[in-house]
Amino acid sequence: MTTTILTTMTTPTAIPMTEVATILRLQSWFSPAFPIGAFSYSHGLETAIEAGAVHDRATLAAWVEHLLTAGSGRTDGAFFAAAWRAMPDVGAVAALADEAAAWIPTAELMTEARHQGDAFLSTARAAWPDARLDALAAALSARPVISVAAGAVAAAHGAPLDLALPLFLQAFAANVISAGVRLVPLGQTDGQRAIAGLEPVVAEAARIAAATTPDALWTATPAHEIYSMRHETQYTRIFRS
Amino acid sequence: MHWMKAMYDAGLASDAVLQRCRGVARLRFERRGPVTRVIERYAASPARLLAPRPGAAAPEVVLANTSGGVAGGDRFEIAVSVGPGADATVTGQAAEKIYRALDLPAQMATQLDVAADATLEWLPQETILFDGAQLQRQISVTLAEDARLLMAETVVLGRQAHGEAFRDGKLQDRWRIDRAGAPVWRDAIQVAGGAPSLEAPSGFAGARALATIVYAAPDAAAHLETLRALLPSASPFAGATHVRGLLVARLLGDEAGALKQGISDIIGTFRGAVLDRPSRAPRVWLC
Repeated sequence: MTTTILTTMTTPTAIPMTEVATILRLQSWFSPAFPIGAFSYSHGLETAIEAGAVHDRATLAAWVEHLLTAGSGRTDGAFFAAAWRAMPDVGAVAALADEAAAWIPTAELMTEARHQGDAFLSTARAAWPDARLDALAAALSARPVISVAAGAVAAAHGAPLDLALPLFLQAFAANVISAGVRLVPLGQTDGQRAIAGLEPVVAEAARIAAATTPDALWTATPAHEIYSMRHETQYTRIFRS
Repeated sequence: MHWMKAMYDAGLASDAVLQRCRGVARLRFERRGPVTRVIERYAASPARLLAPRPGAAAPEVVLANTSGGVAGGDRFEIAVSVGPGADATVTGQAAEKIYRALDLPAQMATQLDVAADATLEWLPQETILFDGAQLQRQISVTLAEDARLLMAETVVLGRQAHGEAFRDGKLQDRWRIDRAGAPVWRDAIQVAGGAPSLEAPSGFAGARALATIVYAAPDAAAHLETLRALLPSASPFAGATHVRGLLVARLLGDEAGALKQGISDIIGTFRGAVLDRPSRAPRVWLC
């Protein structure tokens, strides 16, 4: 029996400076510090916690996982990818914005998506001026939902889809987890454990979303929609959705 | 059905080789003076359209399936068109039963077109998927800017009255509503027997019956409280919202019978309050 030892020489991967600039932008856009008011939305979670359907780290992680695989995360991911591909045809992106809005099932999720999408696009245009995004803003018939706004901004700045889309979904997941940390409540470290555990789910959801056209979309989250509807009349509420 | 099972086990049975039906129903309503008339009423067996009672200002047409149910490979196409200013109700004679499929899904395509200042109530009874059933359903609606539409659809996974679980099978239920040429509602629920979504707290949460009510009208927002007040506070699990000029309510029930009773009460009161109809579900629901 012989043993072969393979020796490989590892060198740091060289990332071109232009790519570093793109990664820095993605870091800014999908950070909780990007001023789109993400912290004020629980995305229906506040009602699910009130009802006891989500009550600890495991149920919170499972809640987010199901949204990513069969709910609003899946829809958002598919429209992010569609908008990314449609740029710089701003007419096509504007039509996608209308189509994406029609998929949003409740008033509060609609407010959340449009408010964040509008803030995302206008902040990106102000800090990273781009003529294509100015043309998009002019072509829109209404405030864009976040998925389409973020996909269009990523495309305009040359961010690759296979990097930008997982980061977008990661920001979605982290925001719901953050709301859960405050509402359950959970320790900050437990919140990070939930985020760490969801990494493969985010990666897989991004892979599926990139391969899903809006015509082939589906969801299976009627209870999430009902929780969001019931949040409109929830007596004690901290979050806007 | 033993021969069928034997063929299936031997890999011989297929929905494609068995004789399958293609049911078609087309309805066109138009306003004539103070009343609405049925201008076109076409049905190809096994679909049937039962004539409305004469004399009503707003006709109520009952859709029937004379084959008793829908098998894999069957296709049903229903098209309802309501002309300007017309007012009509279309309902179903009985629950639609979707049988276990061998290899092909059953397909149901519904097209509803409602013109300016027209009203349509689309109120079929529930659709029950037997264990192993596969249903691909597409509901497409076009509305004029000021059209009114009240629709309710209920799907039940498994024959609950027989204690049957939905272990195998698949529902694909795709809805599209456009108003004045623009998308206002897109929804596609897909769930298979055994899927995690059936138990997930954000999915079906253990329920096996889902009802959806949509009311589209220029005055929809004004009736949100009316609809909310009709929903059960605890069971079935229900909510309502107003989004893009539509009222939408969803109800998830553990028990199909209770959900159907709930929907019947909600629809009855709502149509009485909002659409100048009798305050009850269509008569055929109560049989």
